[in-house]
Formats: sequence, structure tokens, C-alpha cells
Amino acid sequence: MSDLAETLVARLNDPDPELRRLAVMELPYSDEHDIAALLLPRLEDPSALVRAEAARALEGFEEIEVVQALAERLHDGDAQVRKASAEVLAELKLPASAPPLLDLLEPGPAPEAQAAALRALRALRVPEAHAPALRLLGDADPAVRREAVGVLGYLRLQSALAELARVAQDDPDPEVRRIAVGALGYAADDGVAQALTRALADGNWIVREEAAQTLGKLRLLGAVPQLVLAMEDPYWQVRLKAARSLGQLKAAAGVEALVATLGHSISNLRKEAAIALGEIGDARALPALEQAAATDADPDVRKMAGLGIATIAQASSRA
Amino acid sequence: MNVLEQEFDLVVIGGGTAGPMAAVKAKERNPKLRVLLVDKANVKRSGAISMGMDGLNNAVIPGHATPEQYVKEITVANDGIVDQEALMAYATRSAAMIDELDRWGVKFEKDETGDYAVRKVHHLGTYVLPMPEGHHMKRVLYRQLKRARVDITNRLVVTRVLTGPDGSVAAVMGFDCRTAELVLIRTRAAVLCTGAAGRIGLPASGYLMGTYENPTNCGDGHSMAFHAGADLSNLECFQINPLIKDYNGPACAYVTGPLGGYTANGKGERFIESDYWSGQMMLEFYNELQSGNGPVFLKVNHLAEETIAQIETILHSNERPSRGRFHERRGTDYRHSMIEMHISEIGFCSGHSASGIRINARGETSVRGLYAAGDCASVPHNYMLGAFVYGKLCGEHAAEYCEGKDFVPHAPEAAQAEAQRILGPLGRSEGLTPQQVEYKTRRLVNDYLQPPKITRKYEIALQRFEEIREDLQQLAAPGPHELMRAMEAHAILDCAEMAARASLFRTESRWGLYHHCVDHPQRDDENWFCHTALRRGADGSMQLRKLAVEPYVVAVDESEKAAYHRLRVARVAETV
Amino acid sequence: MTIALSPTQVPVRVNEEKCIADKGCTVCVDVCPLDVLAIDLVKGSAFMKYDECWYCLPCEQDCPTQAIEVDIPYLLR
Repeated sequence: MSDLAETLVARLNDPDPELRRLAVMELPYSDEHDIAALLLPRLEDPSALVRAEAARALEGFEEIEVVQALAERLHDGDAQVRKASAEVLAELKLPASAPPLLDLLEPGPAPEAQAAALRALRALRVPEAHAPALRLLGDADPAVRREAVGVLGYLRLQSALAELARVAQDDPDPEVRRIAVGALGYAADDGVAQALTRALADGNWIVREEAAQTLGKLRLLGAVPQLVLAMEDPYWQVRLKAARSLGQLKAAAGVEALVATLGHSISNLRKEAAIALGEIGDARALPALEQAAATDADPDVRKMAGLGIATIAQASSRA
Repeated sequence: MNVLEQEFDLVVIGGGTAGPMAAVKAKERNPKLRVLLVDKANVKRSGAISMGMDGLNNAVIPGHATPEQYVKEITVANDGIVDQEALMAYATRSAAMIDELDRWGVKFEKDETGDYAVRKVHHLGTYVLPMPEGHHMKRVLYRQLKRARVDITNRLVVTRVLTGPDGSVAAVMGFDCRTAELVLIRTRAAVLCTGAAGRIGLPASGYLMGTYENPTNCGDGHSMAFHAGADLSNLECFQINPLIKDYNGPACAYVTGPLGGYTANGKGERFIESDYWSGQMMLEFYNELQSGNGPVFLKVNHLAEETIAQIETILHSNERPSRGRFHERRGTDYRHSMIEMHISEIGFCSGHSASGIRINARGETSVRGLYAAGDCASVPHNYMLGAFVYGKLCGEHAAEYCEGKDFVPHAPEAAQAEAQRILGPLGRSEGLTPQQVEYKTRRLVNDYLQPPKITRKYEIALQRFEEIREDLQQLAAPGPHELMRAMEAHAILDCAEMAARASLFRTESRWGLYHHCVDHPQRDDENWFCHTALRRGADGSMQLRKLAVEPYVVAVDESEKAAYHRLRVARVAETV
Repeated sequence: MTIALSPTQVPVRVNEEKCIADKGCTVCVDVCPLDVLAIDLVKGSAFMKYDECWYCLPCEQDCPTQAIEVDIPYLLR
């Protein structure tokens, strides 16, 4: 151990909390090797500042003792410590660190701690999280429901589709509905298709935007009529995603709506429409694309229109 | 003379992006190797990504883009002068590297099922992957260095790579910038990860360290490679970037672009025709600045409030977080005003252009045992992800090389000469300050080398550089810190001279503004469809030669190339 | 003697009340890529010794007591 590391280790127990905190901050950058073992006791430090710092410094130490100790800190009396512990837990990537987090999903802990545990479990993708996440879709706290949906989206299990589809339509919280709509983007069945097309008519635009995007990602051809309707959504963000999805779906039925969008005042919409028309490859779009390629004020739109024309020409020469 | 002597199997010089990756991967390949990572700053916060990065702009992820598409696009963007095999080595490893960084804890934007939220920017492929919380990059890398048990020495300025009788790497030399202690490290191999040469020119603000690149990246690696006898290629392909005026930070069109922002002229209209951040785009930018339509702005004030807020969060927390402070002080609000932009000083940086220490698809330079990765190496348009991929390639191949390689002796006179060069400025109480010499070199670079390139101006520059080379013998440094600046002044002058000589050698125009020669305004594929290589001659002078472009591994369809060109140069004829 | 000192206003401002360099903290000095910060041993606080700032902010963000404020250098403002 170098002199510097020795000083740091001594300082971890200094009476001055400021110095203890400083040592905690610097320890991960020292040439000391057994960092986690030295930091763990500081999660019990009398000073909340030191505890929070220790939690932060433990990021990336995917050892069961560390995960356990951080999970306990989710009940800390100090909000800063709880927040730091939750953030660090959310960075875990090793499935073996799941057990203490799964314990938190049993009835009892505060919603904040349960949301943090769910958040941390998301990227771990352990199947054991499936059942508790499904149960917590019915939690009273929207933050818990949001994170539960997140866990299910990452797990991508067929058996969660029906519940996610229900949440996507029925949850009172728009952000929960939006995440559920996005979380459905791993598999499509009739129920999913129905939930997503209904979500295109959701009262909240962020849900509609997510639905327009997810329909394209899932290549749900049956949703083309609703996506065409979405091209008249009052929010341009929704129309933009709908245009992109119509292109991905190569939906000839979208040509008319997309051609109309080539005349819209927002240039990003025109650009997206030009790209989609190229992807669809329908010759009916040629006159409008030719006009856009020649006269649009935005070079990006002209370029995409030109590219669209080339793609359509290629498609028809192959046909 | 007191010299601290050390011995390692592998020394990695530069702890920014590529360096930590090279060190970790060498150690993973062979845990028994003694691997040293050296930085003249502190690895915790060094290099181009000291404050993180806000996104990947060349992610090649299956389902969004193919390696072939990527190779094609970079080939066309770089006017055909590329080593496609080296590009392909990056492209085929890009997705796996993203997955590995993700496992390490780098946060990429994902959708609600955990798929990467890749965004479309360029017309052939889909390459942008945002990192809204990318400010943790260095912490993540440091953790991996600790895990792999890599030795780290901070504040050590490496100035020379010494070679043995067989021409292979024997040792590296330098000094501690806190104590001025001389250090000689015998080693089997070395990896140069010293970043761009970003301190060759002077930023428009006149503030010496107000450069686009992290000013620690001043071309020490380029200079070391030259003196070790390695090839450097296409140095005439300068880096010039569109920046926020005066602040000199990137305008980050690749962050704002997918969200609807764009580069506009004084009338608020888009004018850029080309897809890619390229010399062509910079030429369009330059022309607009010079025309009555300037100045040029970044326009986002037409976007929705939540989009602007998102842009602000990303731009003001990652990479260059002082940007928000700069705007605030001038009362610039993205909601109401466009943001004035300008072009940067010149530099060498393969991340954005194509120049650097010449390497092949294995990361090897032309000197045995010497590797290079990241912005200082020659693989074009590599950006951060390319630095990681080539860091990995260099680390793995260098580890293999070390296994079959014994230490070789370096020439004692070379070490002696270097010690004298380093100690020279410390011994003088009278003379020129490093700051003066650096300022003058960089001012001359702006006066004579900034494109458009004019032969006569370049000849004058070379004369003036020769005078400054003599001035180097008068550099005086009162302490170790000033000594670091003095040695950097040497490297900066080397780079300035290399920039001038390489530019004079290629008697055509290519790569848009990067090599826009007034005396040779046309692209000349018949004579110049080749790389240029610069290396040290037996007499120490800079020698240039042509190198054939390596056989393509991905054919670029002529009609595709033509279509692309039509799109790229549609209006240049009117404005030049 | 032919070398002069030219005074200049530096962009890094250290709050001496908050700075705990006197307790042995050197975080800002350690993280500065350009190595322009130093500790004033008499005052027991950090200061910017060389006007060679990239306004990159690690000193400010990593300071354990939020004692540092980095301004944009005057020439750029």
C-alpha cells in the first residue's frame, strides 16, 4: 500500500466527518485494492453526508454484501442516502445481485424503496422478478407501477403481454400508460395490436407518440389505417412518429397523407414524410417528391426527396 | 543526471479514451503482463471525454445499420482514400463494444424494452445513439482499470519513444510535470493514445487554451511517432469543425439534429447540403460565412419547449458543461435566439477527419512494437467508439506481441540527448518563455496554414517555423509546469511543420475545406488517389511519399457514389 | 533579467471559507487536466496559478465542499 492509500485508510475513521467523506471520495482512485471492504462500514457512518458518499463510491462493486448493504440503505432516515443508494443499485448489471432486491418487493417496504428495487432489477432481467412485478402493476403508487412496467418490458415474457396491454389502456397515470405502450414493443399478438391502436387515440399525446412509434417497431400492418389517421393528430410529434412508422411498414395506404405532409410548414415533418415515401416506394408519390426535390426551402428535405425518387425508380426497374 | 528507471512489459501513453481500454484489454488477454498506463494529467479526468460524452455518432448496430453500409459511407465521405479493412475492423466490432460498455455501466438511451434507441441522421445508415447521462464515462473506465489491476502513473509527460538496434520499441522517456524528475521506462511495446493535435492553431478568441480539443492534446503522440520513425498519413486532411463562436465548444449538430435542430445562415435558412460532418460540409459552412449570408447559427428556437429543455439538459451536462454558463452570461436563450457559430482552428484528429499516425487493422504502426489508437491514429471518422474499439485491438495485439518479444536495448546516446533536450529549459534563467514560443507558432499557423491553402503562404510558414526551431534552444522554464509547456511547444512546432509539408506535397484539392488548395483547385484522382505518408528521413528531415489505397473489401457502386456526390456538392459550384 | 510577469484575471474562483485544502484535500489540483491549480500553503486554500484554463469543470464538480466556481475566461465572454 502506498503512503497516500495509508493516509486515506486512516482518514476513513477520522473524527472529522469532512475528512471521512474526503477519504471515501478518493479511495476508489487510490492504489488500494480492497476498496469495497473498506467502504462498507462507512454506509453506517453517523454522518449522512459520509453515508451518501460511501453509497456513491460503491457504484460498480457487484458483490452480494455491497448490494445487501445498499438495499438496506433504501430505508435510511436521510433522503440523500436513500437517493444515492437507489441510483447506485440501478447501475447493477450482474443477475446474481438480485436476491436482496427481490426481498424488497414483498409487502411492507415504502413505495420509494420498492420503486428503487424495481428500477435496479430492470437491467438484471431475472425471471424471479416477473411475478412480483406483475403484482405491483396494481400498486397504489404510480412510481411503483412505472418501474414494475419497466421490469416487464425488459424481461420480454410472452405471459406479461396481456397485463401490459391492459395497463397501456387503463392505467390512470399517463406516464405509466406511455411506458406500458413502449414496453409492448417486444412481441405482437392480437391483444397487443388492439391495445396499441387504442393507445393511438389516448387522451395524452405522449402516449399517442409512443404508440405510433411502437406500431412501426413491431411492424403491425393491421394498424396502418389508424396510423394514417394519426397523420392528422394535433401534435406534430405524433405525426412525425406515425410518418416514420408508415415508412417502416411500407404502407401504400399512407401515401396520400404523407404527400399532404410534404406541404407542411415544419421542415422536420416534411423530411420525415419524404423519407417514408421513399421507403414505401410507390410511384404515386413521384410528382410530389419531384416538386419537393426541386423547390423545398430546406436542403435536407430536398435531399431526402431526391433519395426517395431514386429508391422508387430502383424499385420500379426491378419490378 | 538523475533518471528514474523502470521496467514494464507494455506502456500505454495517454489515459483518455483509447488508452484505458488498451490497458484493460492487454491485461485481460494476459493478466501476467505488467501494464502501465501513463497520463500527463490524471486518468480520473483526462482526455477528450474528461467530462463525458453525449452520444455515439457512429454506432453500427444490427437491425439499424450494417458494417458494409458503414464502410461505404465513410469511404464516400472520405473521397475514397481509406483503408477499408481498418474501417471494417471497427464496424464489425462496434456493436459488441457498445454491449461491453453497457455492461460496464455506460448509460446509452434505450426504449422501454431495453433496445438501444438508435436515431437516424445520415442517409445510408442509422448511427446516432444518445447518451443522455454520458458524464460518467471516466468513472466507468477507472473502475475497469482498477478491476484489471493496471498500474497507473499520473502527471508523467512522455516525450520520446526510444527504439533498439532492430528498430523496435525499447523504452519510453519523459518527466514528471510536478517534480521535473526524468523517467526512463524500458518496455517491450508501447501504445500511443495521445489524442488529437488540437493546439496547432490559435482559436479565434485568442485565448491560448480556448481550443476545440482538450488542450492537453497538443500532438505529443504525433511528434513522438515521427521521431521514432513511424509513418503518419494524410496529415494534409486537417480537422476543422463547426463550433459555437468564441466558446469554441462543439455545436453538437448530432445531438440537436435528430431532435430537429439545424445549422442555419443569417436568414435562418438551412444551407448545408452534405450529410456527414466532412470537409465538404465544412466548405459549405466556410462559404456561407464568407458570403453575404453569414454569420452561421445553430437554430433550435423553432422547437417545442420540451425538446429545447431536452437539448439543454444534454448539452449543458455532458462533454462541455460550461456551455450553459457561456450562453447565460451573454443572455442567449435557446428558446428565443439562434446560437452564433464559427469554424475552429486547424488540427489533426482522425476522430473527425482522416489524419494521424498510420495504423493497420490491428492497430500496428510501421514501427514494430508501437501501436496507436484513438484520435491520434489514422483510421478516419473513428470518434469515441472507434477509440474504444482500436484501444481494444491495440491492447490485445500488443499483449500477444509482448509474449514473443524480449526487451531490446536502446541507444544510450539517444537517451542522453533526450535528457538534455528536456533539461535544457530548466537550466536557463534567461530566454524565451514557452507561452511566447507557443503563441507565435500557433499565430503563424493561423496566418499561413488555415485553408484555403496557398502555396506561397505555406512556403513562408516553413521559413518562419525554421526560425522558431532555433528559438526552441532558448526556451527557459522556471519550474516543472513551465517545462511541460516548453516540451509541448516542441511538439506543436513539429505538428505545424508536418501540417505544412504534407499539404504542400499533395498538389490537388480534396476533402472539401480540409485540403482546399487555391493553386490546385481540382481533385486529381489520376495522380492523387492515394494516401500520403510522412516519416523521418535519415537526416532527421520530413520525407513524404505516396502510398496506394489498400484494395477495397466493400465495392462502392459507381451510381451510388455519383448519387451521393450529387447530393453533397449540389450548390458548391455556385458559391465557391 | 529579461522575463516579466503579466497579471491576468483567472477564471477559477475559490471560496477560501469553504475550501478544505488545509485539511489535506487536493481534489481540484488532482483532477485539473492542465495542472493549473495549486494549494497556497499559507492560506490553506486552493488557487489558480496558471491562466491556462479549458473551463472544463472537473475542479468545480469534484470539489467536495462546492468551494469552486469556474467562470468563462474573459477573452471568450
